[in-house]
Amino acid sequence: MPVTLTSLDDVKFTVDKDVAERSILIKNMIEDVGESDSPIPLPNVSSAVLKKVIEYCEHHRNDPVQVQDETDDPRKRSNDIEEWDMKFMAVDQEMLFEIILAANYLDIKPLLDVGCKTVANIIKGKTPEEIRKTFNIVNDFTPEEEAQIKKENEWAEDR
Amino acid sequence: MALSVVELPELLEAIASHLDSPDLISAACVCKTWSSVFTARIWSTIHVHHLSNPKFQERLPQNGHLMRSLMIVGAVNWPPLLEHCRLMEALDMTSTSLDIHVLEDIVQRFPRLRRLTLNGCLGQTLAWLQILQELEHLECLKFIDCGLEVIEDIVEVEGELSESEEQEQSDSEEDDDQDDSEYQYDPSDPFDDSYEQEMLPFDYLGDFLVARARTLTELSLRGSSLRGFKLWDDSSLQPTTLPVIALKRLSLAATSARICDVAVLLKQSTELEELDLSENFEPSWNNFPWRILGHTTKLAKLDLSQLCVDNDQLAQVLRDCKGIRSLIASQSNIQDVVLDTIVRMNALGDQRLEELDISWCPEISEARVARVLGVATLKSLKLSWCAKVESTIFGVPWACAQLEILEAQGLDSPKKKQRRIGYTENEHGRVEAEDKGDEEEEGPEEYDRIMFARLSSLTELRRLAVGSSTTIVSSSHGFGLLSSRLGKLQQLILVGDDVYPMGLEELRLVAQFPRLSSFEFSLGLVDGAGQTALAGMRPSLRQQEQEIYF
Repeated sequence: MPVTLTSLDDVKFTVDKDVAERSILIKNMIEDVGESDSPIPLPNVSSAVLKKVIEYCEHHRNDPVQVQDETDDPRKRSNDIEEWDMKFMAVDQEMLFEIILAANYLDIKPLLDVGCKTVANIIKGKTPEEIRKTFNIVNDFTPEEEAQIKKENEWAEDR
Repeated sequence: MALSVVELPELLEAIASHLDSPDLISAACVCKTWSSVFTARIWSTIHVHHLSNPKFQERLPQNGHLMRSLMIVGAVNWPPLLEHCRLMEALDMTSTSLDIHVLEDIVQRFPRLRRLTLNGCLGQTLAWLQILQELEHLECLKFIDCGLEVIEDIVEVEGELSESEEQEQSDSEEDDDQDDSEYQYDPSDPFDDSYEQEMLPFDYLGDFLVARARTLTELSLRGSSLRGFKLWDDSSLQPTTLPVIALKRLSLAATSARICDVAVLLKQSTELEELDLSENFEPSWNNFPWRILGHTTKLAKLDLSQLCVDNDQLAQVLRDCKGIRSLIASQSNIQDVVLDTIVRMNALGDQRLEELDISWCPEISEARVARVLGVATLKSLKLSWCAKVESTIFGVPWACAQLEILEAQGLDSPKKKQRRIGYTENEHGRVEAEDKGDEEEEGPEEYDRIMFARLSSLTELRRLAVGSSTTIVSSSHGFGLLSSRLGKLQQLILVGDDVYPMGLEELRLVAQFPRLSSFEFSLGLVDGAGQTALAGMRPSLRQQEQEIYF
């Protein structure tokens, strides 16, 4: 049974139920409302972003439910983005952020993960100033404060 | 949307979880919002070598409350940690010197501990469980390598460890109870009453399990000797007095636990998803009431390596536990009846097996292995050194085209086996003639060619271990097919006939695997000049010459 989703700019998307239910938010909504023909409004997501998110959900419609990984080793996890996902995430920064926010809002954990890994990969190897420039972040530290933060954390460089 | 991704702490935390220092340190300097998130991340996981850093010690009073996870190897200065890190959730200790007072402090000062690992710590004894059972939030306990038997093994193998280990022995308060080197096992008795004749210590483990029945989801006692201990007081064996145990993952590997105790534990553990019973050599496991596992309907992973099982009951367990995705049974006595069940369940779609390890299983026939190859969901298959399986297995249809891990070493070609007929009869018993058919007339090159052609069709492979003493790794035998087709291969382990070492052409082919990071080969398969040449072509490739046991 197909489900209709309505974006912020009032564009309707009709998708299979199992594709839509990759989003835990939508899954719960369908469970609460029961079987219904009325479209599900998603007032936080634009049509351009929703189209991308649906593309992701369709490609991953048959994935098994993710098991929570208790081992907490970042080195193990940040380099393991699938090839398809990597290509999917090759978008401009604005779209990347929109996808992450949509994945967070729609509660699509694997998509949120891939998005955050992509941002992490952008951060890797950059100096604080390069990171600020990349993401257009205002530096609210005085030079002394910044030096202090760096000094306080120096011990952690030794991993 | 008003706030961007890089302003929301919740999303920044998710991003931080994929980073490591020094990137975390750079990120912490970006702005005030980032600083609080990434500093917390830096402090959340601490390793032992940080503890001695003066700058770390200086910040500990201010930032200790951010610490969630600490990994320790060896000695450590406890007082500052116990004072400042009250929100600790995970503690991993290996070879750490602990006494009962420090342990009591840990339990008292770190009341939020969810995960605790004690791995061969000095003085470690099962009596500690009495203290640990007070940890109300404990979800995972790994209580590893505690007990004399394992220590004795280590001393035998690695002489240099003996000094500290001997000290551990003399430190252990439970020595007298565990020292059962004179112990004689009676294989004729299924429940081994000779255990009962000894003085059994208190059932700390049983008390612990009852106390933590609702919170504990993971327990590993790997390598901790339970010999001579009883898990349960006999009076508490009434099911009415025992709670349901929430365990999802349980390892009793190499514990020598009494099978009657294990039976009671498994009966109460209806939520079990992963069970490891490997390396329990006592023949009494043949009499274990395997059907109990039929109640653990959520079971997904079962490890029976080096165990003597009842095949008919195990087949029934596999019929009952439809969720089984992984069966590890290397060096066990499992037989065709178990594989038959797997094949049937998967053909019906009742089961989706992803991992199967039947390496070194001498009783499994080639015909059944050929049927297992029809299980299309398999992602990992290990069947090295199965005495009755030959390299003709590569000639039958393989439906498991999604394999990511394949280990199929030591499967000789039939010709060679005939030449070594005495070996075949003595070591492996009867060779099934029906599967060989006309192929007996073919030369060894043909078997190599069939094998490499088959392997080249498995394009998802990440790890491949293959070859036998009859394999000639040569491009004229079809080896060249592999590097052009196996684009995802990361680890390659080759055994081959050392009379025909790999030439420059073959090594060039090895260098061409786009993602290969590790290459291991049997003794003499790549000579010194070849290793140097390969290192020149592919400097980042890890090469390892191995003495492969035939």
